[in-house]
Amino acid sequence: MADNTRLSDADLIAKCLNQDAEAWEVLVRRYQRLIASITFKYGLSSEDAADISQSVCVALFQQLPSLRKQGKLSSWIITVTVRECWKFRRRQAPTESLDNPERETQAELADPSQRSPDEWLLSLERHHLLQRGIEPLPERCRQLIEHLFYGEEAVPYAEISRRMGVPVASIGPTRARCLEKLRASLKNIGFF
Amino acid sequence: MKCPPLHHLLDYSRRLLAETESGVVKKHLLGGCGKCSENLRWIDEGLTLAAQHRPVDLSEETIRSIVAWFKSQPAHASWTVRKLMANLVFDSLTPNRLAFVREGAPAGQPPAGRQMLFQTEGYDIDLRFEGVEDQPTEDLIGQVLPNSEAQSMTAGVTVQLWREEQEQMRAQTDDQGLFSFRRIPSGVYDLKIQVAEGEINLVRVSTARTA
Repeated sequence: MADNTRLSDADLIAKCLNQDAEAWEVLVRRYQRLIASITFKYGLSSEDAADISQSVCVALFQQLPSLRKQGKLSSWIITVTVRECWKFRRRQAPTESLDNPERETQAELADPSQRSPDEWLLSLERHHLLQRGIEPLPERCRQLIEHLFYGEEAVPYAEISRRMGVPVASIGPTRARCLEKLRASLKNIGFF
Repeated sequence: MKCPPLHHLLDYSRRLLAETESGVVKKHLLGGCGKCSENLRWIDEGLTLAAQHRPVDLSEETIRSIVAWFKSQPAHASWTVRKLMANLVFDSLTPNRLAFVREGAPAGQPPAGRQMLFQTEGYDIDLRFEGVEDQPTEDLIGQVLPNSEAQSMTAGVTVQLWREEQEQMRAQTDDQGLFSFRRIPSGVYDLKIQVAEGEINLVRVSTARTA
């Protein structure tokens, strides 16, 4: 599976069409966080999120032949996941007014930070791309980058070293190398 | 001045540099270094995105069940290249239909629009051409709909617009199966729609002003 993680979506889809279960697993793992983030935003339980993700993956499987020529699988996944979440909500509350699904979706995705649902989804897609850039880095780099980007403010080297189980002295040079690798990876996938 | 390393730019972005070092980086950036400005932009965006989106994961059990389900499915090979020809079943410009449903243009003027309905095994495809005023172009708005419960969903389906053996544009359907091509030159086109069961072909479709 390690080699497959470096493949593009189109290459993974081509392998999936040849019934390659490892490629399918890489594809699912690549997009599971994107799907989970949307179900989380809709406030669904983990059981409901599992149902939604299975529906999205069934649709993905059905559409594999047409998706292999498509550049942006993330947009497709977002569209289908939002739709499945909305359908799920409709089943849960059959007596509510359902005249305007778009408006309902807008309400579901309302953001306390005042971003519109479209802005939130766009930002989620960019975040997915950031994760895609981090994904192929060596394990140690990935851990360090996650500390640097997702960690709380100003974690001292000593603390990062303790959490990662590596000598303090190696954190500085490792950080420089890992950021260069992240830069190359993000450039490679078109993040910037 | 030599470009600061990426980890200095990261610390600068996170406001972790000492005042003196921060001043040096700032001066370098103000000096117009394109490479460092680009690096600072992706670092800034990465930090912003990371702050806005805490990673949420599906359970391992869910992922394993999706993989197990895949292994139980039959191969795609048998239906990946299937071609489905769509037949025209309604055309608002067809001359020999009842007068009250015909939407032809007044004599001497090109029609402003054209509606067509195509059908193929399992799917209906609605097309509407609308002329753009004072322009030799038209808009094409369409919808792909399953005509039975058994068909696959039509959100996220790829629709390609071809002319003279060359692909001109492509679009993706939204969650209602809708797609559009704006400001296309009037003419005769083929449409290819990639659905789960194969490729739906709409052959030699004339725009409103070409009919």
